[in-house]
Amino acid sequence: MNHIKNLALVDDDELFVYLTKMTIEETNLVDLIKVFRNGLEAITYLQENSNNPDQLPEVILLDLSMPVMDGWQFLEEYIQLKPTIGKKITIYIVSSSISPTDIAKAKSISEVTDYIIKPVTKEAFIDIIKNIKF
Amino acid sequence: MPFHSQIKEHYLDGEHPLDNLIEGFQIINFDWRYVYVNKTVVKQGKHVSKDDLLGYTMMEKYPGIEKSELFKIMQQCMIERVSINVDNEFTFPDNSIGWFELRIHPVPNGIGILSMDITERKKSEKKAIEYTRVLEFKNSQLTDFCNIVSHNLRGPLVNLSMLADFIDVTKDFNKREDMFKEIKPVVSLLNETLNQLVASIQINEEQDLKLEKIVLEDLTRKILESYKLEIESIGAEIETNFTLAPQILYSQKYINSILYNLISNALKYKSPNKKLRIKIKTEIINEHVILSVSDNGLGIDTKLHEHNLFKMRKVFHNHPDAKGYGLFMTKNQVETMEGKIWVESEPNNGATFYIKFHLNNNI
Repeated sequence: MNHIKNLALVDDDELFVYLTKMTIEETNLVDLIKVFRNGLEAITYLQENSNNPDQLPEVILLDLSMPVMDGWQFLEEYIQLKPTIGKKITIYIVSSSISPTDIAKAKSISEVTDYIIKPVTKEAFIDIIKNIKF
Repeated sequence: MPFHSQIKEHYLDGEHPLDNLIEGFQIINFDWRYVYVNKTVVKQGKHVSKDDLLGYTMMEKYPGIEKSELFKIMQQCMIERVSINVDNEFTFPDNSIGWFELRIHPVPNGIGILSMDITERKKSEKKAIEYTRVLEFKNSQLTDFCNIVSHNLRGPLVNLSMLADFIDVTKDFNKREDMFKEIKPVVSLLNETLNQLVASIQINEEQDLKLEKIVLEDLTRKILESYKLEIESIGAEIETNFTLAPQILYSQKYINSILYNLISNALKYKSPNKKLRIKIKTEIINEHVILSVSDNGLGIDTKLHEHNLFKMRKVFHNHPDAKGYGLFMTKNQVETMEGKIWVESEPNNGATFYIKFHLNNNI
């Protein structure tokens, strides 16, 4: 089974973050979960640590609807930043939105591995980790 | 009766073969006098008989016509001897409006005009354009509505269902207690969102909004009065100028809420380093009243947030009171009254919100 050292959760919904952290911790597949409350916090962290692969997450679970910088805007910024990052990062969108427009848009972005509709169950999370190719 | 004498008889009755055309036909001579009109022209022009026109000049029958676009076109035909087709909107002396498709041709003694009444067609075209506008508006509201349901209602529901699942499997009593405590805030958020959504739908459904004369200076003073303490404590400078358009005809409830929202936003998102200045004014551009509320506060990155500016639950600052509801409601109210709202802003450089009112709101 794959094992994740660093996982980033980008979501402004505190309760969802709390519950999802618990779910992920129960799987024992992740060492460290970093939480960012919006896209800007996350992109700033990636910028600051672009030369520091150990500090960078292998997986990002990205919410769409967030204040200041939402998920889509984060992805735009990330695409700019990607060439300077010395690590393969797998990005999953994790959103409460069931809108087909959102899902189609997500699938059209090659940096996005998959679109997961909230909630993230333990089983779904194990599946995610299984399918990550390092 | 021989054929030729039948025709002759028609002439004797004052009938002319051209009288029964669907199109009106008239000849205007070089002195701008009506020298021939058929019956259809009489009917189209709402005249009683041909004698109402024949022998008169156009300027006598329609004073001021020499200043119209149509006259220029007829003149061109008179002088350059070329045929011209044109759709013309015509205002009758009784102020009713008709549309005519005109074919203006040179004839030996002046110009001949074939006129087809297309008023009904133009009316239905106008209606179709109006229907399309309403449909597009409703459609975009529906999209917004689906987004709100998808993002803002489903989000808290997901949390509730996750909580329920955890409570089910958690044996630790204290942990369960903690989770029970989490339920209430989610339920109130869900409630709040639902109420706001209902309120916004009610705006769109409201049919007969009572229009009242609104004195903007008075209303603004009243709103500023309610923020008096806050304004004094931060030492904000507020300038109002409604001289260019002091009044509008509007729903009291909506204009109240619109101004409240814009003013409270200006106060809320002030810059920590600058003395807050707010300017509220009206002006008239292309006959429309434009209301603007402008501040020197934090501003918004309008490029970054272009698509989210007036959406529900979209906030652009890390401000504890930012809820993403005010501008959403404001836009709904403005658009229900067939107006437009937009913003010009740069981060750290203030923001100016503009509201363009519909001509119906002019006094």
